[in-house]
Amino acid sequence: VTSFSFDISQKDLAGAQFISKASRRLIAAFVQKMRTEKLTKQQIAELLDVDKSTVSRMLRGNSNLTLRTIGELAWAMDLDPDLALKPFDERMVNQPMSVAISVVHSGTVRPANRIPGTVILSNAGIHP
Amino acid sequence: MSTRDECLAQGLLFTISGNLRPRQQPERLLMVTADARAVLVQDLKTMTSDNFYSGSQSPLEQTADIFNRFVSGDAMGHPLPPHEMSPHGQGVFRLRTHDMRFDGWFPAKNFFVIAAIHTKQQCNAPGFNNAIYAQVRATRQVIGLNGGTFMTAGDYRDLIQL
Repeated sequence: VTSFSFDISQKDLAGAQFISKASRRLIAAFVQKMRTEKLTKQQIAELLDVDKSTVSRMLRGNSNLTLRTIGELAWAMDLDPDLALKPFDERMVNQPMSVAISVVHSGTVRPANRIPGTVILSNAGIHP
Repeated sequence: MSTRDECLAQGLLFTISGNLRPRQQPERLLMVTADARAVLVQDLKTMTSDNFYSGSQSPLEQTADIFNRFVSGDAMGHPLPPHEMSPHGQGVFRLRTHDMRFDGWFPAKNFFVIAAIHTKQQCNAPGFNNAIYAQVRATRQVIGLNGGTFMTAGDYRDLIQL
């Protein structure tokens, strides 16, 4: 046997991958927004009524991002969390996100980038 | 000098499948040495997160995820990008998850061999990283894959760009 595979179910792996990808994508989107708008961690911390260090931990990936945390961070940055669930088929293979979570500017309406067979709940905007 | 197939046949190296989903294609090649494979087989399941990162997944899930990302060609940069171990120039690179450290070398672009697997806590011990650095270099020499050649780069992205 020259190949090694983990004894981990596809279900568990998919769950682990989703947590990892969602966290990476969201943090990258938040950081990009901060750079674009020249927002400081202190400003965001004051809006969220938390310490600056708490915001730093969130944005370094050192903290578990709950749905509430994501919503609050997005609110503080005037962003609207968005979710798109797409089928995992050949068109999605090796794409950075087969399940895309991103944030878009509040109130922004963008044309849907529909793929046949894809359910898009709303538009995904930032894919850093 | 040994070829990749010879190393596989002799049990010096093992290919990591990455637990790809059906119809996913491997975009990068990931291998482990026999010693590193032993850690995956024997130790990984019982390892626990130190929870420095709140809500971290288990080391097994973290490892399965980063291996899948590497093999499937996914981005590797955020939040813990791979990096070359210091002193630079010897081609010793480290892949990281919240709790795990994977040290090895790139025999070629998009081809990484893991020679050492440890927890972050183990690596925090004084002198431990220096020992790993030496171990990777020694292992690379002993295995002699393609004559022990390795790649260096100022930026890891140069080595995993598809």
